[in-house]
Amino acid sequence: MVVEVNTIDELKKHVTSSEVVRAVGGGSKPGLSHNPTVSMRRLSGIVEYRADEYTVTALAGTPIGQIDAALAEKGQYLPFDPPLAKAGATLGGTVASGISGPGRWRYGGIRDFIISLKMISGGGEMLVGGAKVVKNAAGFDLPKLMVGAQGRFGVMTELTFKVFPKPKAMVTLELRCGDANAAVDVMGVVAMGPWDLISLDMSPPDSVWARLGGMPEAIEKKIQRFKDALPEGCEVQRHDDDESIWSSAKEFKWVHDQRSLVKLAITPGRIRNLERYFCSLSRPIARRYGCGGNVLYLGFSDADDLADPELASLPGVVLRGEVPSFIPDVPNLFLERLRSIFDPQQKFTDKSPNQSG
Amino acid sequence: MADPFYRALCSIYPKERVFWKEAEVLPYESDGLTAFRAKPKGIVLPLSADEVVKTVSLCSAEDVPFLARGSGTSLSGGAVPVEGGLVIAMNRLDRILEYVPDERRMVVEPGVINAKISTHCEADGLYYAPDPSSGPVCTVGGNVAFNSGGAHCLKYGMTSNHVLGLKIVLPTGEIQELGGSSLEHCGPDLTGMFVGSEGLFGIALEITVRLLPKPESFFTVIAAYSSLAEAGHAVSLLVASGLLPGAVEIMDALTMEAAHAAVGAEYPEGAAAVLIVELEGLSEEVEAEKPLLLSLLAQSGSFDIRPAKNAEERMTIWKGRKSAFSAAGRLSPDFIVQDGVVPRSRLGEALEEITAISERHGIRVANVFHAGDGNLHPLILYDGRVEGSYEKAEQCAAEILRLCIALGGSITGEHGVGLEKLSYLSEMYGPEDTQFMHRLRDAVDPKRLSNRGKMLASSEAPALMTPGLHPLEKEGIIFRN
Repeated sequence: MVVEVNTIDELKKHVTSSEVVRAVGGGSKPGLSHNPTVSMRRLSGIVEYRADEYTVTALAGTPIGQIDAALAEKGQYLPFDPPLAKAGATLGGTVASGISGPGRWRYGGIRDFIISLKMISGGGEMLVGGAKVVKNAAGFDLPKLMVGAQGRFGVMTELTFKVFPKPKAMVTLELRCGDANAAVDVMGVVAMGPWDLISLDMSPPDSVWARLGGMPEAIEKKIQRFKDALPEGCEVQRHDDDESIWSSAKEFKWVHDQRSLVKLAITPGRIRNLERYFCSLSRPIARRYGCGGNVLYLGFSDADDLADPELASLPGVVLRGEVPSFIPDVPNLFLERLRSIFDPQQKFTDKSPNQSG
Repeated sequence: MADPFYRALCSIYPKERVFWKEAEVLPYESDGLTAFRAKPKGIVLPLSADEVVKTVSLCSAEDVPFLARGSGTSLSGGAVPVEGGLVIAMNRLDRILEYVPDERRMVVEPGVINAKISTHCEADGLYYAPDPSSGPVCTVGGNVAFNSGGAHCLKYGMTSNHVLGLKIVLPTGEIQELGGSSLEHCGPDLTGMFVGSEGLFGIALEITVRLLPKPESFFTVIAAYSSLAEAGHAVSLLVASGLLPGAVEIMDALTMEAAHAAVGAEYPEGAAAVLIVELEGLSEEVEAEKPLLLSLLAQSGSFDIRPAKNAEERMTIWKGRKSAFSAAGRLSPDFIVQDGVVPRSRLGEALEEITAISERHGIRVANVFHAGDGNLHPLILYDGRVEGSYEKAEQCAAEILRLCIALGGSITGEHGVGLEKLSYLSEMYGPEDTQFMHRLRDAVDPKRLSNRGKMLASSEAPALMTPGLHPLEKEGIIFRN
């Protein structure tokens, strides 16, 4: 049974009185919210938005869409481009899953924009971490620790992020490179350049997606220079439906709903080998490389298809569907020692079979 | 020498890399915060990560507190040794282990000098963004321990935003890898938790940093104001305009006077404050932003707007700004650098209150700060030869920190808590949160050996006070941020 809590006090009571605690927000990443015990949905709302400070504070159950809309009114945005907003993702769930969208390329990921939080530990302590100012070096950085922690240290109740002014003009170019190897080369060359690209993705077989942004007066000149600097053999197509291209990328519209969805942390140098492997499979694997080739999202229907040893060495997280055996659960002493304080009774550890917790 | 611990160290190191004599140990007694001093038991100079790990294991077995030290430029006393403890001087672990330009990544040892990273990748059009003013001398290991900042943090973040992965030795002697080579990670951000932990969670042995393409073009401008409040207001105008400058700095009249005396920097006559704003990026973008910036500065009431005409003039502006702290030595025999943060919209209020505090104590305070992110660096000037003067300056510093807390800010933007702000951490976070931090530390370091006495108060804080400039500062080698 999933308990609906209306207040932080009720949430605290749930944490202190339960043996197992698993929070769920919008449920947009079901691979991370199986067997939930408590819904965060009613702990929702913007607590404080200071456009002049570049900070926004909201309760953990606040839908990303609500934050996006409030920021847009003031010409600002969350530069890490949180995914799955349309699917109902919440702020807390986005932090816990540690996933960022295509905008991550320019200024950094969710870890680079979270600055403060309130949370409840396994022992029921109400903790505060960080500060609601854009620069702070005092004390341990609890906000960063929660990024990607999948709720293993506690339940977050309130989060503060740094926000930025949104570029006034944005244009997307698709670079058709001929084949995957050429696309990797082009992505590498573009990544080294001074272009200040907002996003840089690659979608097989051979497309590199570059999003340029900035002052409307400068954008056409920038596009021209960018095109002129591209290696020969690149076919450039300009897309005027810029917003919808990236929205579809970060909503994972390119993966069928029924398929499992996995995020893997990679480095660009691995893409050639990975592509060779994926192309050798009999069943197609939906995939997209984000953040200049630093993250790979995979959509598949049968994990048995994925038996590549290189894949097995990559850190990953399951956003939807079954946990493939190729995602390693690496023991970590630092993590375990911290966790012994945050959650001495292991309330936040998933004890269901086939889950690594 | 009969000391069994010394003998044990000599089984790890040749004798010439173990300093035990008083004269050898002396240079390690203090750091950039010269007000504190403590006498370590000895110093070791490892050449390899393996030697560091063996040393930590030995200290752990023998209950000897230890401190990993880089160049000792900490301004919060972070690199002051533990009395009777061991100093592990990391300076010779200064190799660049891996450089992958097309993946914009470098793996360095902790003793590598901050500025060396950018020098190493310059030819490929890349640079390392964190730029503390001590960049030419401070080490990356120290930057990681204290999450160092610099003038470009609003746009690019602090050290922790540029560290992708770490290999560390835990205080109990085990090696652990955190993060990795990718910009993305899966699982809790342990790298982010380690960075800024002030040495309490152990020692970084290898550091993977991300590199950025160098901005193609800069536009740096100095704007003069007849009051500090006006300069503060100009910052709010800039922020509201949607511009995102690479740096926004403010210097007051006293700081300008010091910078002029120290490095000959020229500032508009009669200015009570100057604002330094730097746009950076693709030249087309910078050209498009220029008119907007200049019209905002004119609107904000600046009576003299001076854009740098070339790279040389830009460097002169930055030299003046980055020398500001050590230049304060020209105004006063001694000074304390504070490092508080206030919400940017409350800068004006904070400055008024700092002026009032300064007048109340009859102590001069020079103000220089990273205005873009609300990071104040008041320089509290005093004369250590006058009895009671240091205590008065300390009192003044304490009131400024409490002001930052009261305004909803932080007690440190980039220097860390160290020894200096030990008693303020619990004022900022409250006793329960501070207690929780103690418990986290105890879980990782049950004997409290690693950099004991920093960030989290313990019973044994060194006390001996020696005010004045750091010798390297007097030589003009170290610059404070």
